[in-house]
Amino acid sequence: MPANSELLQRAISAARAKNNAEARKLLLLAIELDDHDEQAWLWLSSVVESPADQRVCLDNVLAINPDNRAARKGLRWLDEHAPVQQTELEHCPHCNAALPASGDTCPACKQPVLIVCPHCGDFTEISKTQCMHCGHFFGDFRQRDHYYAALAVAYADIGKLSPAQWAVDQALAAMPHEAEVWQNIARVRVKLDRPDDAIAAYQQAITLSPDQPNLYLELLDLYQRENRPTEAQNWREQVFKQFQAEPTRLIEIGQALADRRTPPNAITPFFERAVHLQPKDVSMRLLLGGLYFDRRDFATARQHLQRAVELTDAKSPQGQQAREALARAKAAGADRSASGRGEVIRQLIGPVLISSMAALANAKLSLNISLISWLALGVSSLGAWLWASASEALSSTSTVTGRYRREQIAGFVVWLIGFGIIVAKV
Amino acid sequence: MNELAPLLIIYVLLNLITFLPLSDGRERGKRIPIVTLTLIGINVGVHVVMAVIYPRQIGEVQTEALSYLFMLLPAGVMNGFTNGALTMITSAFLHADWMHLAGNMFFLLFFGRKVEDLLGRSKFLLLYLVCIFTSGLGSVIGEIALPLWKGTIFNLGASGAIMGVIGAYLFLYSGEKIRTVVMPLGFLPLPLSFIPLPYFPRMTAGFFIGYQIAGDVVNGLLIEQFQKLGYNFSMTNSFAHLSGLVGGLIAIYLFLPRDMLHYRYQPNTKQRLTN
Repeated sequence: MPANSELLQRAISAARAKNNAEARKLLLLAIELDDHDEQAWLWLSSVVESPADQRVCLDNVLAINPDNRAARKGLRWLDEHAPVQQTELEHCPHCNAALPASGDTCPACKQPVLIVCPHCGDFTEISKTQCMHCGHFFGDFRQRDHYYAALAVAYADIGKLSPAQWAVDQALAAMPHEAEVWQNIARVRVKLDRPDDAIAAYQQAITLSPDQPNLYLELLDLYQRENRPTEAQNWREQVFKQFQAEPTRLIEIGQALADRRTPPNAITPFFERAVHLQPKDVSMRLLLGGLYFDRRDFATARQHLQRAVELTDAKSPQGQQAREALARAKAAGADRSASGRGEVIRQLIGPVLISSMAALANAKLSLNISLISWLALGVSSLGAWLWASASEALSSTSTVTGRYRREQIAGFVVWLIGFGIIVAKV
Repeated sequence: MNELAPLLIIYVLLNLITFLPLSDGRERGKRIPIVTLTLIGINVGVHVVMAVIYPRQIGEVQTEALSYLFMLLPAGVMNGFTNGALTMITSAFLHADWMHLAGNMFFLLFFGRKVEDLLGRSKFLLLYLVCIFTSGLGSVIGEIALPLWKGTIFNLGASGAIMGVIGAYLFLYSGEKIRTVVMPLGFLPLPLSFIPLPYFPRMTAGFFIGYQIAGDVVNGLLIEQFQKLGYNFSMTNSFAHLSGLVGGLIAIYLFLPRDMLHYRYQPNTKQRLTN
């Protein structure tokens, strides 16, 4: 829209030349051509005369682009120097009588109490949760106690930050000890780009109601958004301590953290604790096994999945799921470790070491080992090899085969015979 | 004698209090630790036979004479008088008295079931055997070199093998937090010393086991130094404890399942929640 940009350029030049009237005229023309022109609204806010008009302009800028820092800064300045005066629910709009703290009708004129929709500015009955004119959802305002906090969120949702700030102040004055109010305040402060104040509000909400996981989660989100990992970590530990005796909540929080793409090692303690509290819960075992699998800690994954397999019926869907997961963990674990001959040798050394130490003890700690002991050492080593290679084969395959089990037992028996001959000092 | 003063002070300080493990963060295994319980059963059974049944049936002197056949005599092993391998095994199932037995079995039950849970039964049994032999060989080599004893003192007790099991636990769970009970064994007379202090400190397995190892190292050094001067310092077989520990550390590596070679347990309490 070249005509519009030309108008804007001319308006900016006029504003810089302190010709506010000319600039205002040009900017209003530009806005008439395109009422979504963020720059036009921003420049207009600098040339209008009243703070109320400035607020409207800046609110409109934020409605177009909620991330506009200049507009936020301007509104903050206005909040400090020219606060808004609004009294939506102080008096009845019909008879101007003072309204009580709750109820849907005015006690004086018996008319329904009306509220101003924060979106379109029209009156709507307070018993509605949606504006009758524009359809905007603004929450349940019937409880006057919660009205200001809900109104603040509603204003903040549509980018009207100054009224949102005003509603926050009203909410605080009305209900300073309500966690929900503080939570809403925190949400508004997030939108007002006041992270430290929002954190303080969340912390206040948590102090007032420490058993609500969503408060902790929202605070964690904020810390992550603000790139403050240490505080996020501390609060995760805090939430863990708070709910460490409640397995269902732990799982709920763990899953919420997983949805937020929190790294598995930060989520694991929640599931680990839940499993600790309910060791026979197969679903928890499967979840935890999966988490350890994601962390590539296949040994621990295998332990949990093995328990899940033991706790379930092989034919049940959960049992099949557990078995499949265990097979995957076994295969993945095997890939990471030593394999083949090297692995057999590692496992072989232990039993051979036992036989060798026995032979050494019988030979006065010298190599002067008797012929029969040498032979027995050979037999036990053979048994150890059979045992180790069968064990290796068993751990490499996901299914247990009878052949390897038999070989494992046979190897152990052969080793035991050789070892027995050495110990018996035949 | 004066040059031994620092060692003696450390020894006294280390022995003022004794920590006994109460619990750790490990989840209790679902499987019954059959090998651990069987080993405890054999130890208790053997002690009942040697301390209660035989003394009544064949007399105390005969029982003592019989028990010497099954104890480990380092000089006997070196001279070929005794069946070295067999006595290394049998001596690991004999105990001097009920307190000796109770202490050892307590530690075996605490640490053994956790290692068995991870290793499996057969491998845990093999690990225990490795520890029996390494502790036996350590006893023989260590005690033969002592100027006063020269390997002529009979050895008995499962503590060497149990230190091996503790070594395996250390290898696997060094960062695990152990809740302990403090016994004032070192500074109160006997009946009182078994009343635990009302304080249950939590410490890492590394510190807890390190404390035991430090005690054994200092005790071993003092035994050697005192024997050079012609005195007997202690009857605790630190050589068996330390060599059993080394055996356990080696054996756990050899017997770990292949997919657990990279395994290092991160306890909940210490695990840092990172982004």
